This record gives sequence, structure tokens and C-alpha cells, in this order.
Amino acid sequence: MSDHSIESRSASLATDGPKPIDGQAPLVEATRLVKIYQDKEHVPVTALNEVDFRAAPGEFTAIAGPSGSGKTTLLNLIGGLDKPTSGSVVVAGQDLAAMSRNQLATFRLNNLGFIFQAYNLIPVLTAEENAEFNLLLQGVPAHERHEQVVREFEDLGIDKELIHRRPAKLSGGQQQRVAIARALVSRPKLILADEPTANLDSKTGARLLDKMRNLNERTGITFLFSTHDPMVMERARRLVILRDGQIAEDDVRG
Amino acid sequence: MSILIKIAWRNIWRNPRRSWVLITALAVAVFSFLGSVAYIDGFSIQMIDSAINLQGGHIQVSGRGYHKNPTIRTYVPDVARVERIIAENDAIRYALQTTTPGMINSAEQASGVVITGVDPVREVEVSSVAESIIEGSYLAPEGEANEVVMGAMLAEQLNVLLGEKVVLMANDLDNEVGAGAYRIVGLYRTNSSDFDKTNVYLHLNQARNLIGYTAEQASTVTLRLDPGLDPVETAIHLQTTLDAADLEILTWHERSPLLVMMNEMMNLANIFLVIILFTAIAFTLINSFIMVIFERIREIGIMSANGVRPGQVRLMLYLEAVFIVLLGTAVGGAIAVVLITWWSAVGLDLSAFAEGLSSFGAASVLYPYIHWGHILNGFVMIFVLVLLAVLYPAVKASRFETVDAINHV
Repeated sequence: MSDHSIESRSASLATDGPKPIDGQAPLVEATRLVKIYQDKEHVPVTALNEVDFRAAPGEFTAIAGPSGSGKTTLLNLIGGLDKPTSGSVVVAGQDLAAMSRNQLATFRLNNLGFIFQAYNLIPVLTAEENAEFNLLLQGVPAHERHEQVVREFEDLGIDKELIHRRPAKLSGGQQQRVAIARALVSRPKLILADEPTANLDSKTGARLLDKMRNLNERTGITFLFSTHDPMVMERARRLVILRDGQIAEDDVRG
Repeated sequence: MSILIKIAWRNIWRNPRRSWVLITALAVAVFSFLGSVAYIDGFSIQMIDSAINLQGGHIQVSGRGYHKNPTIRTYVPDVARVERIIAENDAIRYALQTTTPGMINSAEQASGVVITGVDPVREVEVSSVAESIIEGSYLAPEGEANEVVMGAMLAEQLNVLLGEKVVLMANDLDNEVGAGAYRIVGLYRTNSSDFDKTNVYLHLNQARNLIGYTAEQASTVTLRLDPGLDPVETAIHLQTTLDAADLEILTWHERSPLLVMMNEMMNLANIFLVIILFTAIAFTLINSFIMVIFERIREIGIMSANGVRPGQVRLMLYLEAVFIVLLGTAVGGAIAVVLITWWSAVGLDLSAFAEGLSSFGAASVLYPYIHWGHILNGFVMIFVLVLLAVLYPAVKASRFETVDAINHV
């Protein structure tokens, strides 16, 4: 795709606004999204500049781009972890900008799953407790939680012996599997994965990506990745390239 | 909620040394608080007991105006009726007294005293003077002999010994000076040195004769109530039942406002003690919890990303504070209860301050007392102070921007 066609596509999205994707209502609709940060010297830095982005349910999409291109910022805004300077984000029909902190927390609990580069498990909880964290917050009964977590652990190839271990006693790959289990176990509509393979060796990373792709195909859960990793980009069915806070390329591979 | 409790509990033990420092500080403060409260309450109880045991029981019935101006001209009207109505309640013990100011003379010295005539059989049920005899015996049950019981300190002052005679003089109803010689049959020593130096006891009929009362007259009726009977309610009930405008029915609270005030001041001292002790602890807690939240910013961000609401973040930190307070309170409280129970059995010997204590009506051996109501109030205040202390760090933690918290290094 030429630079000219990218710009025209971006401009077209900006003017026309979100539209149904292949006849489906979009799960994510980000419109004219602008995010300006202040750096340490209080100089404004534009992380996202009038970005329009839509994702349909069931997508397995990688958002890639060089460092500072705005991919993590876009993911954070879609996840309601951050507020845009201007523009709107609608996820699952809900306008995130209109929500209070409590409403956002509840929305994330019931609709979103997060996978972070640094795993970010809660250190005082065991692998099982970390995985069932969202279910606990949702008030799911103990036996159901246990069943779901065990099933997820089996799917992700987590050894049963590990379920009572705390994160400090798990390897990086094991921790990331638990983090993925935590994100998946409550069957959210959308999983946002920020550089999920960055701290893993290539073999472990590839295996986990295959698992996630498999889950996406089986369950229809939408995955949005922010990544530098070619393995993620290879496996994604849609690749969005961000550059200087704008969508430079949007390649749907079918 | 259960996951927050679990996280809060386990968070305490992530840095055991810091937690134990906090728990120990709280335990020391709780121990100091309980010890002080127990001693203050013990002191207070001893003073109140002295007032009740030596000076008029729980309730005193007299002629109207007697309390303000206790003269022999103000006596209990129709004392037989009063006795009959009081006697209807089995939970009340009572005794009649005549009281008059007078002089006591020995061969060498004279002193102003309060001469009280009592029925020894009934009096032992309302007064502790008989229990305080340290030499000789109390007045004989039969009230015909010229016997007198006095404080050992007064006897020392008059330079008289047990078995010797003294002369008592007092004005009678006709303003004539009556006098009589009485043999000292007993010497007592109570908690109050002032009381011991100024009070002598005769048989009721002897005292009546001295001041010109008939056998149907008495200055006061002293009532002692069984435990569980409230003095104020009982006094109100008696007032209604006796229905006599010329009677004065006063509880010990009304007769001893100074004592009531001192008691209230001591309760106030307890409150100040809690505030001072636990304000110091509160600052330690604030400091620790600020450290805690700065260590866990990233974790708080992750929890928030996963759907933990700001209020739940605050709750989690409050739970940590509550667990630390419960542990500190349990450790300090357990040590305090064991030691106070032991001290309350053996007492704390404060002989060095005996004279000062005696002037307050307190004994030189203090027996601490665990007043659960005061302790409960103290604990409520501790919890309130601690929760106030954790408010700032908890609110701060709940206001972190999720994205900044997650990216915190």
C-alpha cells in the first residue's frame, strides 16, 4: 500500500466516521482520537493524531509500529485505562469518555481482558487465584471458578502442580500463561495484549500466540495486540501499522 | 470482597519486619492505654467505694435541707414509716443514724469531731467502718454500754489507747451542752485519713440521749443497694413511694458532686490518653501506608485495569490497617489483661504516696480494674483514629490514573 493510499484511507475514515465492518457492528470504534502528553519538560507530545480505528468482533489484530508511534496509547484508550485529549472511543456500544472511574472499572471487569508485557500478576496470589481474579470480582461461585480456571490452565498447558505457586515461583512463560488465563477466563468480548511476547523466548512466545489464535478461532473473542514482534504480525489476520500517531497501513489478510 | 480480604492479609506479611514494628508499636500503646485506664478506674472505684461505704451509702434519706445544713434540728420525719417502706424491698439494706458535730476530749487533747450514733447490727450492712477495725472490736450489738469507736489516727492525736475513756460533748436540741464519758472499744483505719481523724461512732441510743432525740428520731437513713439496683432509679422510686415533701432522698452522686466531677475528669483523662498515644501511632501508620502504596502503585494499576473499583482499593488498604490494628490490639490487649488481672489480685503498693492518696479517699494499695465499657470506648477511638490515619494514603491510592500506575517503574 502506497503512502498516498494510506493517507487517503486514513482521511476517508476520519471524515466518514465508523461504519459497519462487513455488515457487522464494530466492537471497537475510535473516532478522531487525539492524545497529547506533556513530557518531563512540559513540552506537548502528540501520541495519537486524529486516529480512526474500528475492530469487528472476532478479529485477531496486531497494531504495530516503531517505538513512540502510539500503539500502546491506542490500546490504553480502547481499554479505558487512559482518557483521550479529544475524540471518542466506543467499545461494545459504550462510550468510554462518558463513564466515571467506577463505571470504567466495572466495564473493564465485564468486557475486557488485559495481557501485559511484564505479566503483572498479583504477587501475593497463587497462580490459580490470579487466574480467577476477575471471576472473584464478578462474584462467580467457587466451584464454577475452579472449573473454569482448571479448563483454562489445561488449554494453555499450565501444569496442575503450578496452580498453588505464587508468581515469584513461576518462570516468565508460566507467568504469562497465567496472565493469559486471567484475561480469558471470564470470556471477555475483547482482549488487549500489550507486547505479550516481548519478555518471552521465541519458542514460548510462538506457542502462546498459537494458543491465543486457536482460542480466538474457537471462542470468537477479539484480540488486539500492540507489538513489535514479527511472530505476532505473522499470525494476525489484520495488521495495522501506526507511524507518528497515525494509521499508516491497515492490512486485512482474511 | 473475599479476594480483597485475602490480598490485604497477605500484603501485611510481604514486609514482615515493617508489619511487626507497627504491630509492636500498637501493642505497646494498647498495653499502656489499658494499664492506665485500669489504674485510673481502680483509683476511681476506690474513691467511690469510700464515699459509699463511709459516707452515706448509695442513697441517704434525711429531712429536707439536711444535706446543705446538717444540723440536729433537721431530722427524718416519721422515720418509722420511712423504715417500713424501705424494708419492703429485699434488695435494700438500711440503717438509721444520728449525726452531730461535737468535741472529743482526752486527758491531754481535744478535737472537733462528727459524732454518729448507729445501730451496730444494721450499720455493718451499710458501712465498712466495722470492717476497718484494726484494734479492738466494733460496737457491741446491745446498745446500752457507753462505747465509742474512733479512727486510730484520732486516737493517736488524742494520745489515747484502746480501753481508755474519752469525753464527748455536743449541743442538744435545747442548745444545752450534753456530755458523756465513753470507753474506746475499737480503733479503725480506712482509706481516708481525713475521715479517720474526724469521725467517732456511738450506739444509736447513746447518741440520741446526747443530743436530746427521742427513740423515734434519726438524722439520716442510709441505704445500701444490692448489685443490679440502680441508685438513681431507686431514689426516684422511693421519692414517689414515700411522697413526702419534707424528705430529702439523695444518691451518692448528688451528695458528692466533687467526686462525680473527679470521676468525669478521669474519664476525660482516659480519652486524652487514647488520643495522645494513638495520634503518635497514627503518624507511624500514615508513613508506613504511604510507603506501602508507593511500593505497590503498579499492582494497584493492574488491579484497577482488571476491574477493581477505586472504593475497593480503599477498602483493601483499610482492611490492611484493620488487620494490623487487630493484631496489635490482640497482642497488647492479651498482655495487658493478664498483667492487670494479676495486679488486680495483688494490688500495686503505693505506700510512698499513701498520705496523698488517703486525702482522696484512696488506699495506698491500688487495685486496677478492667472497666470493659471504658476499654470498648478506647478501642472504638483507636479504630476511628487508625481509619482516619489511613484515609489519606487510601484515597491517594484510589486516585492513581490507571495508565500511569501500570507504567510506574
